[in-house]
Amino acid sequence: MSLLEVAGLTIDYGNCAKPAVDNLSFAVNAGESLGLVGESGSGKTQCALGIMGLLPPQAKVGGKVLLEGVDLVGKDEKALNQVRAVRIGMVFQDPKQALNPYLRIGEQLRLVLVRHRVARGADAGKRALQLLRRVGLPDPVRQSRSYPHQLSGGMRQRAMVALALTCSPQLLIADEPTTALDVTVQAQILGLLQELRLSSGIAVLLITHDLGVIAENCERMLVMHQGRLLEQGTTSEVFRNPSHPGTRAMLAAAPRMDAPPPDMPTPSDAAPVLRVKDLTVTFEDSSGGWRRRKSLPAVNGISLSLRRGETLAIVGESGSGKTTLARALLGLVPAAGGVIELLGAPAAGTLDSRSADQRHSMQLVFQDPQASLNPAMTVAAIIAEAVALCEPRLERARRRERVVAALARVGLDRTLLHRFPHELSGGQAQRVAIARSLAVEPTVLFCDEAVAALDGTARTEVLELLQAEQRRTGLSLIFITHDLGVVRQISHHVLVMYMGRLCEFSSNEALFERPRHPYTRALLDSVPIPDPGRGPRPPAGGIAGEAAPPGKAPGGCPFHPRCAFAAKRCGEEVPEPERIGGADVACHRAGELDLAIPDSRVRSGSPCNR
Amino acid sequence: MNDFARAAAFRGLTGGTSIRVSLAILLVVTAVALLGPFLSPNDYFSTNFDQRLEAPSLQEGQLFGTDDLGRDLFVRSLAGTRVTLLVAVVASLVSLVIGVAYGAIAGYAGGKVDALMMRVVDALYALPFVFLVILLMVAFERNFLLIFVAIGAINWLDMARIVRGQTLSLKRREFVDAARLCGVPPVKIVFRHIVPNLLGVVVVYVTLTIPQAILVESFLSFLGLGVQEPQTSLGALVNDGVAQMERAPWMLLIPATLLAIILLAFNFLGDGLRDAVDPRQQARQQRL
Repeated sequence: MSLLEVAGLTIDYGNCAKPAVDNLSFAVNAGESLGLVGESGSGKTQCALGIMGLLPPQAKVGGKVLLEGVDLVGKDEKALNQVRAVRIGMVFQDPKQALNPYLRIGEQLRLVLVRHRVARGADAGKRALQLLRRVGLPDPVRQSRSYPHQLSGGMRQRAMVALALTCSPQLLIADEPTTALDVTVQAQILGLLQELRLSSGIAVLLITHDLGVIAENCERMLVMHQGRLLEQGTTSEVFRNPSHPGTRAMLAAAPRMDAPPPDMPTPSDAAPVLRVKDLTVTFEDSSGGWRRRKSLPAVNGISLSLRRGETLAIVGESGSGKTTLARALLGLVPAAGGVIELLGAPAAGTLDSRSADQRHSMQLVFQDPQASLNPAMTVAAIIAEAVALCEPRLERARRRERVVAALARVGLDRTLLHRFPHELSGGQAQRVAIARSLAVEPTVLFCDEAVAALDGTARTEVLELLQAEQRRTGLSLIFITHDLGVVRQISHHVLVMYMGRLCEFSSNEALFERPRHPYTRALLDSVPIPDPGRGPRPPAGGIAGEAAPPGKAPGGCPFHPRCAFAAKRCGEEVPEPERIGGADVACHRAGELDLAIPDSRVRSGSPCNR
Repeated sequence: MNDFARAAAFRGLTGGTSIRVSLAILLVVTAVALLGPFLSPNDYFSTNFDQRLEAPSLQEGQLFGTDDLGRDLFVRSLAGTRVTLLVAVVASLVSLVIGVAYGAIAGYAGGKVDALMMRVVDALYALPFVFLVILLMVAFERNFLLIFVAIGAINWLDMARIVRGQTLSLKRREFVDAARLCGVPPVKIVFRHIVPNLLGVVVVYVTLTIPQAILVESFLSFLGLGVQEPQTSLGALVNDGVAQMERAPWMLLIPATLLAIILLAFNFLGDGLRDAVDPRQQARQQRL
């Protein structure tokens, strides 16, 4: 008998045409790792909540959830509490919200241990420490006395896993456990879940939107779409031989880091449109009290240049300063030093002191399209505003035509004109945001994680839209992203940043095939690749630890505490970018290291879905 | 104004029951209060010592009875309602116009401008209110308008503070950055992008301001600093009623009930409007 059997689970809120989860059946065997993949809104989280009995009261639940033959649907709280945490543990997406901010980590663990009578008194404290050690939290004695906000994202997620493990459950449901984390940390957490499964025999139900995570971590997988189960099977089978067209589309839409990029628009060879020299941005840190104000560098000495029609990707983990760099270039935050040259003329540091032309020539598309559109304005009003700023003397009817044309340019029709942003889908909203930016005819379009919030097809469509625009008008793009698959598919050049400094600035091919900076290599190794045929990742693929918080930057090279190749010199001197083999690399040892990626990992082993 | 306001107003009028019911009540109360003088042969200031403290009766034509000076309480209640509603309208207009503009500008400008503008608010807060009113009364003649000046002067302060706080968080939102990048001038950002998004909070706060203003007015009238006899307001009528509570309970009950109905209607209206004005609220309700 399987450990958990879900039979015909249906979750209906009674207000949509379709139920959130529709007649879902699957089984989880003891000790296996099962992946559940689907786009946002496919009902995968609802399914997890349904198993745990955590759905809101207005949800109507049908079907059966059998845990070793006992049905959990319709059980009262008291009975469910004997199941939750005790037999099924859960890890949520955002540990910041799942951990109680007012309780120390150790205390939260102790409370669960005592509540479920696993241990009591001093023993509970000891057990809590053991658990923290088990999940690989560095310095558990100190961390158990910390509050959640004092831990880094990865450490918080480790604490969350420890919390789910308190009563040694048989099944761990992990709902997007690594989506809020950086890619190097993601690799660590996924490694931890694997290790727990293999050593303790806990079954893991891993819910994610990332096919790469499934391919590298799960034996079997389920594919969900709009509440329905499209197909299930062993991971290698589904990847190699998807039976449902929906699965095939999903597999094809995932941007692949390991596939060479398709032909991209060719940038022009004329003088660069944007040239940046030694840009530095600092933030004032007042946390030390009014007496010890110091300025923290968020971006430190970055130089780059961008040609017309070129796409530059800026890559780095959260806190690497990539967004700050973009905001400084756009004039949204003042630069502390350096030169920005736009179309051959120096650009002032702040937006207000730039000319209207200069303002219009750089535009930004934000990560969250809903947040970047004024919720109180209709689509028509949002775009009309941009059009009016560009050409203030346009008469009403002409302006209206221009708005419709701007929408058509991003592939939207006029039926959306009178909608409010919340009435649009994510992809539509992002297109509206792009239409607004393009309406002022920019030379450089910044995309700050512009496709990170979009699902497969919508993401592909937006990327294609941007490239078509680039081909047509010679638009230059600066893509700020953490998604190396997207970088690989659309960029000409890549700038890798770590803690505000440049690591490596090189061309797409060179970076993905022959990285020169140890951090670049670590990033590439950490990205899960949606190809189960490739076998397990190299064990030392990821890197240990996490980036230091701002203001606590280590001396010397900022990466040296995590670097596998660090020498004595790396801790003493900050490396300056040097030109090595066509790339700018800031590493003392770049000349001597060979970090080229073995061929098998660069190119897709099996062109299964392309 | 713009599409948004029209859509919000449309949704407000057609949407929630609470809005429709409370709006209907307020409209009826306002209409009756305005038409009051034509509904009864009596006026609100004539005394009749033969008909003191008469209980409400239909035959006598005195629907709400009479007070201790023999004045028709029905007509007096309507006159009082007029004053009370006027106070409500003026107070909300002042806090809407001055408070919202002042707070939004201070919040968006930030830095030294913000500090200076908010210190002015603090200074006005620090003035002892009753003392200020007495000074005004002494300096000028006793005047109906002075009450509005006094109530208006304190009412916009709270609104300015709340709007400023909201603006501080709104101006960090991405759509404001997007507008700045397109080159929208600051004044337009404040009034097109920030203020419409504040409406939800503002509407809720105005509904809190209105009862407060009505209560302040009755308090002033009680001290003899507000509406002067024979003019009256609901607050003044309630105070008269308290004095005669044992002999003529209707003198207390009728104006107090009217006051309660008006205050409740404003509160329900505010609740309903808040849901209607926030465009996301609708989507949220549908989703749940």
